[in-house]
Amino acid sequence: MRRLFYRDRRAFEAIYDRFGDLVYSTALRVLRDPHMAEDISQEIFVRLWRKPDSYVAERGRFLTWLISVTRNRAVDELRSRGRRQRYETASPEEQQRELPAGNANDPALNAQLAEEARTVRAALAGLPDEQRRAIELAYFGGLTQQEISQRLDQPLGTVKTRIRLGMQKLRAALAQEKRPE
Amino acid sequence: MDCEQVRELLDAYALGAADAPEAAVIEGHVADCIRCWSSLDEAQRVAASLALSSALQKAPRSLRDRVLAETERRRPAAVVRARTRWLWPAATGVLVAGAATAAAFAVVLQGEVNDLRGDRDRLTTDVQDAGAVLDEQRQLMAVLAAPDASQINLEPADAGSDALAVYYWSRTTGNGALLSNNLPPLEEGQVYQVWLLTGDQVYDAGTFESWNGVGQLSMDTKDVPGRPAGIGVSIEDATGAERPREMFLFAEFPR
Repeated sequence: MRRLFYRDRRAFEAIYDRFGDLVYSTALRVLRDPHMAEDISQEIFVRLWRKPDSYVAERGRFLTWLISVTRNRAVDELRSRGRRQRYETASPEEQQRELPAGNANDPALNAQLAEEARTVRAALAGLPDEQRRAIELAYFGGLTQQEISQRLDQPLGTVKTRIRLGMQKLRAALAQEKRPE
Repeated sequence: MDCEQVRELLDAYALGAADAPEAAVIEGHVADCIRCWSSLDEAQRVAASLALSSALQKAPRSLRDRVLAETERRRPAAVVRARTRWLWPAATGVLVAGAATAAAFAVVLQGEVNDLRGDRDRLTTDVQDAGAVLDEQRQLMAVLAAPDASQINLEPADAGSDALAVYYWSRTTGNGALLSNNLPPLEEGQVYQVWLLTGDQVYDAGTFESWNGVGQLSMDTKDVPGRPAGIGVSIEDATGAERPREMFLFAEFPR
């Protein structure tokens, strides 16, 4: 990031090569449209190039920030185009697919992402369907709890509880992976 | 809304599912509350990890070309280099003044040169200072940007204290970083010292000072023998101590 701050193009290319597929995949999962996902991904990276200080290290890790801004921008796009039709979650086959190796010049990162992806999928698969669906409708569908309540025809309190319980379980599953050595 | 009520809402907020009034309350609260900010950071990390649940799609090659072409088009100049280029042509302009007026310009020229030397020295100092700050920030970013970055909150030993800290670490890089707030004031000649505890041993992880109660320290933990069981912060003499006197912030790592 320091090199990026000085507009080092090679540093920027390295960041693109590390995270390009992930940014594109995140946008695609939300938008379900390859062309729109490309446009949003381009916008995210160009913004990062022009304003590298928009990432503030003290606010969290870079990967979390990058995914969050991508998801939020994709949801904004979805809303602005009035495209919030019925959101379908990824098919079981899609979810079963392994994370590809991606960029071979960073095996540590890819191994770490692949491991984290396996953990997330296992944790999601372990959630009751109603909790998983509420979480996915919120994150990938861009719906508020109120909108989820209407979509699923469930009381708002029920939706809030499902989201809270589901996130608690995900947090616990991810925390088991972490301990310093 | 108190902290407990805010934390009930953080998961929905992290998922982007909070209604606008709730979101406004949360944003106002976490701006002043490092504990809830830390909880939100954790919730956002969990939410962002959901992106990994999808199969990774290969971005089209054309996207990479478009992005890089766009960055080439919008390439700005570096600030320091721009200033350097401006300074020396100004001096050159004085130097090429005619020989007949050389004597008249001598005093002016000497003053100009002295000014330039002063500028250069100040610039050098500024760059060195900025370099040190950036080095610290770079180390901090290296920890936070690591794919396996983890965090733990340090709690004050004194229940009445507002002191807070968050420790981030990366297992793969062996680096750690401590961010702290509401630190108790130091007396003259004192520093905050960070300790990693491994069994019955304590490891000096470094010292830092604070600005308005806010301080941070980046550390290399690769040489720490064994797995740390805990981390703490104490106040010591500026020379640093071999063992902590009393740790006012502490956290035990999860087993």
